[in-house]
Amino acid sequence: MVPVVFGAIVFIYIAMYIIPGDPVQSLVGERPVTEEFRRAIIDRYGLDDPLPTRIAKYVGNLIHFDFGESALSRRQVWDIIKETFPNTARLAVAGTFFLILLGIGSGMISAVRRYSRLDTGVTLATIVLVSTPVFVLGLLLQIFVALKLKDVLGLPITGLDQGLKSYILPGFTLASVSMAYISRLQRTTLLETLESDYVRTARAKGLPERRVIFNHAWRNALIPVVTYLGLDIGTVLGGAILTETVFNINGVGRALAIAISTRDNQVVLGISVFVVVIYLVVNLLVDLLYAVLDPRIRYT
Amino acid sequence: MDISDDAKTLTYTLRQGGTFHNGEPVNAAAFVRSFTRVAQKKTASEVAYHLSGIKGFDAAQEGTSDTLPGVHQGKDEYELVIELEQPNAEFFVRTGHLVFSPVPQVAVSDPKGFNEKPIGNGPYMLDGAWKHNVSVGVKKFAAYNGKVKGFLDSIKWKIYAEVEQAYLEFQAGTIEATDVPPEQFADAAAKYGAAFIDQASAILNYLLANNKNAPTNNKMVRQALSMAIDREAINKAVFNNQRVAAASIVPPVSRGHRAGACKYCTFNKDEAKRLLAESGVQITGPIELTFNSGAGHEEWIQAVAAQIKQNLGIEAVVKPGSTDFGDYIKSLDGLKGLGRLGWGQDYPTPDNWLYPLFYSTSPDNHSFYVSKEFDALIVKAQQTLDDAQRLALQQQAEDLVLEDMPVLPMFYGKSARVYSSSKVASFPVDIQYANPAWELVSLK
Repeated sequence: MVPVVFGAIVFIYIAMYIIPGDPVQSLVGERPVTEEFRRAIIDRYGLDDPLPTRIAKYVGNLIHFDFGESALSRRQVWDIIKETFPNTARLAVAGTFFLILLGIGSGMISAVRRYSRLDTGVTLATIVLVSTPVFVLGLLLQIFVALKLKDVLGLPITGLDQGLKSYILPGFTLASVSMAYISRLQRTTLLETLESDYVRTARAKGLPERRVIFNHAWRNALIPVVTYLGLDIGTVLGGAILTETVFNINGVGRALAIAISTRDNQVVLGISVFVVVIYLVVNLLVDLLYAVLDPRIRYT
Repeated sequence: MDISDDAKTLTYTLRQGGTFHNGEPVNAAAFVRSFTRVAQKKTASEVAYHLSGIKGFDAAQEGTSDTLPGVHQGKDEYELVIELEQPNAEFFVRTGHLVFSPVPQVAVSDPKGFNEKPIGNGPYMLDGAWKHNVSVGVKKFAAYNGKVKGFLDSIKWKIYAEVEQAYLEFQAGTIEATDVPPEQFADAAAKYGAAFIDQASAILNYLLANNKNAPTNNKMVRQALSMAIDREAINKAVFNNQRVAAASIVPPVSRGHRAGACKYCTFNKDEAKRLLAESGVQITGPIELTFNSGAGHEEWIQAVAAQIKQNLGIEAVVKPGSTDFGDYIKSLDGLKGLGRLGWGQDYPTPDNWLYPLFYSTSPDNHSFYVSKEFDALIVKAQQTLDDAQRLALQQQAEDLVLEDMPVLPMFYGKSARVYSSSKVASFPVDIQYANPAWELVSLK
């Protein structure tokens, strides 16, 4: 994990370094930069050190959880991450809840009731969800569900500060695209398992259909889905940028979006590195989850 | 406030007994502390340039000195003296800018802490923690001894990444006032009537003409180009009337604005053709039109190009410039035609529009306009203590610019706000700074 993180840091740092444009200019907006101000910023952040020195310094500071300072707000990047990440984590949990409930649930229904009207309906819904961009879906939900139906449902338009109901629209929005893929994937894998020999054996020995599906077929059919979920955490974090921006949620995604558009490089770098670490940790957890699902997989 | 006859020394008599929200006195020392902090190199302030002109400012910026000798206490702790390098009878207008506010000691001893918990000296003080990018609140400061004490007990600002979100929240009734996104101006005006307030903002979008390179180095060519553009039509077609067609340099919200000061800003195709013919300039190649990409300027620049083509019969090509503003500005040096730029006012005075954009040695003068007459008028105005005389000189200078047309004024911005008419009794907007005057806002 350490070499991956280090490689990512170097890669992101160099990428930020070679992007054309002037980070000092972005601090003053559409105005000329005075020589004095340029000098002061260069000295404050050591911008004229050679690139390897800057990267070495950055990595050295990271070990002490010093992610540097935002040139724009002059706040510690670690403070920004600390106050925004919990919101993203909560949103991700809400998203995963919808993913599992609606994605896996609808996939199972489709598989068990293959070629029924329900199956067709789910297929249609997944196609619509996959082809609707996250920000469009978010905005539509805000206008037609939160605003037009506010007296009926009382869902907030933005923010996460109104308890559990605040998570419904952003959670659904965040989960939307992956939900559709998961649904399709679950349908296919479950259909495949339902036709395998051991399921036929289970049926032959007279097990009730519910036990055949849940205890025998589903557990195996879940492995590809869990693999996909693990890989998909990247999509979820990417989707968080859009979802958080649309719903004005103070999470790392929105912080990153703001930092990118204001060219607040230190914040972009800090959040990116942090997200890389989170991604790796989640993937590790997913690997461990295999063992729970499939007794044949054992880590030694 | 008193200005010396040579317009180089300003003496402020401060109100006695004023304190910061933490109880520290607001005296001359608080201002000296603040100005020095802004000017010092180690602060690296992007707004320090507003203090330029104060004695010792350059040395403090370069880091060769840690003090700002041009600002000091007068005869007692309630007298503040500002000494300038050059005469400037209007420096006092500048001091309305936020960067001239006094700061308490903690701003110097613990800048990071002060950054998190700002302490001011106005009618409202910070209420609870500032939740970055979420909300910030203020409450009435009981010990405030100024004239306008404010009508609201507390104010909470919710922070949105996009103005559209705030407007949705306003429609749902969760917030009492907000800015309105430009595309909703018409909708909001119809829905909210008198509770919808729109006004021109002190931001001018203009087309810079390169005054060194042909063919825009000829004044009549510039006049002709300006008259060939139908600003109203573009405002309607491209901006849905969300801008104000410009016919002056000094904007409608600024002191000294004169409607229609620019006679070459009126659309007149025949006159434009006549001026171009009379200039004697044969335009052979196409005229370049450029803009900084990615900031929403392409459409109206395209419209300008189409109009120049149609009304003057000159080929005009649109060349999108860099998205990086620094690179874009540099590219204007070699411009052969017109380039989009904008200017927003820092202080409500004509000088803030004329000196930076047109004074021959100003770093913001990208048109390479050089006029000894103009420079002399501006310098003379800066030395003139009498308000009316100074304004007359500034208007003469503006007239000169509007005759030479080094730039083509195009559009002023427009901003709009709505408030809840069922809850809010009065919602005045400060015209000069285009922000609600919060100390005057009151509830029903």
